[in-house]
Amino acid sequence: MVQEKQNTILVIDDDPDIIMFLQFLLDDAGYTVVTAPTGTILGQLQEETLPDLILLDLLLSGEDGCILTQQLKGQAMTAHIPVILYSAHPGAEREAKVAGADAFLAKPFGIDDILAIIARLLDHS
Amino acid sequence: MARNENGKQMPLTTETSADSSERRFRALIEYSSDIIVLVNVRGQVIYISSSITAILGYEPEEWMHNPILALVHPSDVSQVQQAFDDLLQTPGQSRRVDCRLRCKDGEYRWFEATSTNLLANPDVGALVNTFHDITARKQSANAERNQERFELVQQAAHIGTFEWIVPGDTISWATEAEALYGLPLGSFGGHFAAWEATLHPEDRERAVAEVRQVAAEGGDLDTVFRVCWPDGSVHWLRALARVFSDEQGQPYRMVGVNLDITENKAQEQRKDNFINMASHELKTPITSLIGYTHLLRSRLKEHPDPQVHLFLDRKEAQLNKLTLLVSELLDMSKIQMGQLPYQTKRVDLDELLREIVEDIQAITTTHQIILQDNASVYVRGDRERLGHVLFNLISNAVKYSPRANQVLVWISHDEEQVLISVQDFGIGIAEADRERIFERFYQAPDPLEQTYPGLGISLYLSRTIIQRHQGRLWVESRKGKGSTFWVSLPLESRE
Repeated sequence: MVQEKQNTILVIDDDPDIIMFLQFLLDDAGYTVVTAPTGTILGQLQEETLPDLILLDLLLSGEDGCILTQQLKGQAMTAHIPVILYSAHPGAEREAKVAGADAFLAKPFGIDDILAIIARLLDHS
Repeated sequence: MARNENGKQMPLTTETSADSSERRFRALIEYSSDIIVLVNVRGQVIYISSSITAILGYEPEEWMHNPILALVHPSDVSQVQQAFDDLLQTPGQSRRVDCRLRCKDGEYRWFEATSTNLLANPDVGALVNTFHDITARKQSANAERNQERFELVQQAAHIGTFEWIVPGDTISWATEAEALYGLPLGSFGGHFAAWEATLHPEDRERAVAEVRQVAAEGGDLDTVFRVCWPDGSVHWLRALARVFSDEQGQPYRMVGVNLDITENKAQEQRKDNFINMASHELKTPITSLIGYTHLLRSRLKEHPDPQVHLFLDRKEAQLNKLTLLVSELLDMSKIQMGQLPYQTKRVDLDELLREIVEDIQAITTTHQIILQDNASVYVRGDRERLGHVLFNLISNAVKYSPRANQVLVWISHDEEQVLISVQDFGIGIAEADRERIFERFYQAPDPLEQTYPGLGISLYLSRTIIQRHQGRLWVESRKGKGSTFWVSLPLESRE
């Protein structure tokens, strides 16, 4: 099946090195990538420019990825967007799922794993 | 009325008054429970009462003309000598000193010796000594001092002794023991149920079971448990004790100590928290490294220089190793904190084993890993953790047999359990270390073995994981010949 446009992935992480490698990785994989260091961008999302998937670090400086996820899922405009939460704490998986995340990844995640999960979630939507 | 030799009646009082006085005094001396000794100015015995026989076991004749000091315990001689010398300077005065005298059988007894200088008295002309046996009093004082010392030691060290008489379930506690349980002085009920009531509900069943088991089988107890103080605070205690049997060889009483290890536990907790935090901190940079390595690979996919690919391979291998080490550190700190999560799913152990063997063989050029398996076999548990155990065992086998070229892996099962063995032909494990290698942080002390890299936690982790799956992990080994690690796990029950 041919896709009309590339899927857009929004990556939010306060670590610039993680942001950069994810940007290159997802770009190589054929996605359009938008990045942000904080969750502020989520409050500025417009209907026309919604991302197709959001990749979010659980522990952002001063912000809780779980709360951001809850907000996204609670908002009609963004509720349908698949959200992947990742964290160095594998025990956070439960918390992430409870907040409404569609998937959880424990750091350090395998590159193939993350690409596979993204593909799967985008395929379903 | 008395009669003389002629049978003539004589009045008692007039004829025998001096005699009767002397007889009376003699009776006093001879039947006294004290030993009465007269010594001359040189300290030699000139008279000794016959009570010496009953008290010390000698005949009086044995000591006549001998120096009295020869009877005295060597440690007391100088004190007695001093008293004697002082006394010689003070006619008519008395001195009192406690000293030990030697019995005929070699034992010593304590006496209170009172000595009076009557050398100048023409009727006596000697030093008059009475020795009053105070052995019992001394022993009782010693016992009291020992008891006091016993209590003070416990207070100083915060150790509380206890004695549990098993038949009847009565327990007696030293004062400090009550303090360890936060109980007011004298308030302990004195029976097993009263102790049981102090235990934290989560530890009660286990602690009681352990203690009863040792009481039934005999031997030593070493266990830890939490107790709840009346004020609501929770404290960790350790109990060390030994069981003693009666004449029939039946366990009769358990005697031991309680010590407070709350601070120790807190420290351990802090240490484990730190390991936990440190491991997490390490994970983010590792994630970056893995990401960039992957990107490098794909950018350099077509690179003509084979060494570039080799270097990237090595980089990835090392990153994987790093990830594993950090994972192990983290798991280990979680085990200690009781927080290691396990999944419970159906796991095909045969398939898992094949996968692990393949993964390890792919990065091992020095050994051939020969797997003998057959059909699928299912257990219930956490696939990732079981895989971790198998990975540890097989990679250890390779690591500890640098001069060999094979590792044999074997899996089989009967109706109830599955058995896996991993055999290497390497340095082997000494008998003394065979159980200890499963201890956290333990590394066999052989100087050769300390040149092998590792944290010393993989076997501890592995055993914990296997035990959580109701299985067993053990080793058979001969030093210099090699080792075989065995894993047994219960089969998934067909229900």
